[in-house]
Amino acid sequence: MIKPDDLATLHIHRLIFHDVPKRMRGLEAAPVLSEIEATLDADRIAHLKRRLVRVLGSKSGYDIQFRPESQSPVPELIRDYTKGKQRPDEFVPLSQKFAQFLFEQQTGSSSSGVLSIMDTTVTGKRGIVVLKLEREEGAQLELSTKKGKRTFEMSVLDNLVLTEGTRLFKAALFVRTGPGGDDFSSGACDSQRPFGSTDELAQFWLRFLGCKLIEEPRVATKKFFEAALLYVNDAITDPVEKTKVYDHVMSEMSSEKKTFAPRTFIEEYVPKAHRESFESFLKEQQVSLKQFPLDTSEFVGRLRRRSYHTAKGAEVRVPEEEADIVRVAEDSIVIADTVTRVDHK
Amino acid sequence: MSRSDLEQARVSWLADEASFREFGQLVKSGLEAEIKRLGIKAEVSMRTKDIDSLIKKLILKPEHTYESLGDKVGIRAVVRYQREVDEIVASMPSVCGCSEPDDTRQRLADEKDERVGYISIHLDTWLKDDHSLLAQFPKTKYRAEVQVRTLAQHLWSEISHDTSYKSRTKIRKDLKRRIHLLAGLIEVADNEFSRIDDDMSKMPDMAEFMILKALERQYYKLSARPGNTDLSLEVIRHLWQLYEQSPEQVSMRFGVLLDEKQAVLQDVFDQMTKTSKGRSAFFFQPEILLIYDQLQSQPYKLREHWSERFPPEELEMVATAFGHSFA
Repeated sequence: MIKPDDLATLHIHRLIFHDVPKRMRGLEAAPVLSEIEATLDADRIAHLKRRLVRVLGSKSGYDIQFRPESQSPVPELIRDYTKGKQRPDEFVPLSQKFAQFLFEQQTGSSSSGVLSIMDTTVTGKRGIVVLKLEREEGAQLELSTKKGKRTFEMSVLDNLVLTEGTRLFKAALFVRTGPGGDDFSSGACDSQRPFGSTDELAQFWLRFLGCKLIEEPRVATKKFFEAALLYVNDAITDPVEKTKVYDHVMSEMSSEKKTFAPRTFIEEYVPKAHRESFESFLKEQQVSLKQFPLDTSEFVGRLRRRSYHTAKGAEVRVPEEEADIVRVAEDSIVIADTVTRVDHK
Repeated sequence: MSRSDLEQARVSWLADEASFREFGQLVKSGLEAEIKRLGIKAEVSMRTKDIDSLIKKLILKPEHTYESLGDKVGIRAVVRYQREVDEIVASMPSVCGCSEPDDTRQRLADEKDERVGYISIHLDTWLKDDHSLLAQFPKTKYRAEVQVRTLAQHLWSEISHDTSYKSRTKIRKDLKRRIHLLAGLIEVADNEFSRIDDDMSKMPDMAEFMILKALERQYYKLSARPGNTDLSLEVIRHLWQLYEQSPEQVSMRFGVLLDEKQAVLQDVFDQMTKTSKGRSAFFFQPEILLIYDQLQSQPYKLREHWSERFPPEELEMVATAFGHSFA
């Protein structure tokens, strides 16, 4: 899981660009590969890092992990490169392999782009950043030669990465946390197509990376929903507050929003006195506080409510899927359930 | 001292000065690191004696030879309060080998000593026995004089340097009395600065001062760069109530925060030192720790509250430096 402290301590040591066009039927194309890494100054590194934080730390950033059944060579390349000591001489060939694979994948509606690979550390732990920037078809990137080797001019960085207006980023950060093949903290972001979308293009970046979201959206949503209800029932004693928070949970879960951010929910809807303990409770229940795609498919029946209003002002609300516990006659309403609590407003 | 001895001293110093400078830099770095660890705001400087001063001193102090002359390297730390002088002096043995402090308070109390003036503490220092560069800078040759002073003591020292206050020559009694009075005045000022500082940070209606003091104590462990106090107080006044705790409770948070996050914070401070482009003007301010703390716990409330008074772009820059994104 990538945390703000990880992004804060991200250091970029090497960087390289490759121009990766789209493969089009009948047309010959090939990636233009740099042969040496780019030379960076402190200001550009700092600026580049800020852009990365803004995308990887944004609401569109998700925790990811390697997908065991993936055909992508990316996980193995990352595992191998981050193992042991830094090997600067292997950086350029590694990045070229990424570019070559991206070129093979870039067909159909996926667009041409500039691929940047960065050799990084996060609090001393080895890491790799993969960044794809969209560029207009036909736009020329300036190539130059240094010591007889091809490389892209810094104008690529200035024009495509460091321009505040550039929004079209696909980014990923992998940080090695241990010697094992899956000992990584990883996060990814696609600012064009949130991973929550189900269409093919939204999955392109994850498929290229050979990764999947750490938690299926339906699982993350259900875990939050259940933990939140448990907390509301057991920890909030004031009946007015209890009802308010409960209603907010139901309303947010039933909304048309594509994504849900527990931390924002806490700040907006949980009474101040409960914020810290609610957050701790969610952590105890292994509920991620980061944003996840909202998917209520696992408990959609529990969100629907049927309400009964009586002539004397009583109100009975039951989950739609438990509606058969209510028996309504001409002058009575009977609920076949056990009373667990009575609130006085 | 003969003319040939002085000439030899000149030749020796021209040959030795560079290595003494290197040695002085080592001791200075160690002292700066210790002052940072203590969380004290200080100006630390180092100089090697210029050749003319060295020769003049040998002429004035014929009991010394080139080798025995003590302050070829001088390192000075100037702090705000006397208690900070005492803290630094007490921790000097952890930085380097050092003599007992030469405290002029004791010397001035000696009735037989004719000199008058104000207090100042000096220590003779050398590399510790386990220092990796001891062979290059043996303690028999490489010594530095470390002075630790308050600003008021520094004022006295700077003025008296060009006068005869420090002279061993007998001074007329009425003049001596006036110098004593002046020195006393400065000592009173020093004591009052400390007392006012203590009192201000304890007054219940001056919460922002209390919190600023607590923030400074931790901030100077990360950076020696002073902030703008007016801005600090304005930011603290505006933000501290986000905690919904008493000023005492808020003040206690920052020590814990630094214990837990010092490595991360130091890393970010080091990065921010390297570039000024895209760095918020609010970064090198003690209250940056309060902002970081709030970013960790309630970033959106912080942004909402912040934007009522300060430019949101500045918070965005601070947030990005600490790995947070509002996007």
